[in-house]
Amino acid sequence: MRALLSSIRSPAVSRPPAAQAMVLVEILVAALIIAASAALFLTVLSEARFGLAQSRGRLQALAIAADLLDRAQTRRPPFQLHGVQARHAWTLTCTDLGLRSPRLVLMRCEARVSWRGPLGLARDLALSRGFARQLSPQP
Amino acid sequence: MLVGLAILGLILALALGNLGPWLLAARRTDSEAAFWRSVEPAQLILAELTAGAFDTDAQFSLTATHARFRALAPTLSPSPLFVDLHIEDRRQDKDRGQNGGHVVLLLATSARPTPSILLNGERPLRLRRSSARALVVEAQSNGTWVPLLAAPMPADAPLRCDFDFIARTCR
Repeated sequence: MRALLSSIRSPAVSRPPAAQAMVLVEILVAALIIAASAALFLTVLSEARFGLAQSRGRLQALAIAADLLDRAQTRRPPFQLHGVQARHAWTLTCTDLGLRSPRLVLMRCEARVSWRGPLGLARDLALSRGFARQLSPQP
Repeated sequence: MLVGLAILGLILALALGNLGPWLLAARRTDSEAAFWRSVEPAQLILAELTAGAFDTDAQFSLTATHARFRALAPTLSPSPLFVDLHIEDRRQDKDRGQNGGHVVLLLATSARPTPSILLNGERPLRLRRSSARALVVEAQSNGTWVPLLAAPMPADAPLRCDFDFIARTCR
């Protein structure tokens, strides 16, 4: 029986201990390579998402600020407005520059938008514009 | 060696089992990055066209998905042209190639009638005109509409064209 078992035993089992250790190391190295590749892929993915979230927040803030500045022209200065839009908190401040004609008033507005970027980092952005607002509709 | 093989098997199973969701996430990130990358060029094109828009009270038609106005854009045409902005929802037809399954903002002008894609993304879009004569493209984000592109239209008077043969456009 023993003779039969030894005849069907795989050659690897009968390898010397040094060869067995080498095979083990090879397997472990293969496992490490696979794990490192997966980790690298996940790192690249998370970095891309981080960068995307950053630029998305900034572009969104820019659009909100530009829209606020466009809308500011319909009000009479000075005024200050606050609000929150798509997790972006904004403040619109408009001042009268003290220069006016019978038809126009010169005003300056600043739209400040703040938001939480990736990892909860606080970001903010400010756009300002000066323009002449019509005091009354043209005849 | 059996322990080593078991570890290798486990790591392989973990990596291969998550490959699908990871690839899906990577593709979604890529598609969203492409959308946000196109926002700035779209803003520039729209701003150039709306800056040249004229007679915006009489010659401007707008619905949530379509805007049409006349503009003088010398870089595109020496004579005034019609500008058409159109939002198409292609989310139902997923098998229409690269732009299938998305919402697209298309631009067509009388100088170039074949529509060009300005924005192509998964978010619903709509057009709005703000009270201060600005054309705003809004995107839906978590159920609310937020501005994505804002392009002012400063001129509201009719165009009186004195054609300048040197500049080859209206003066």
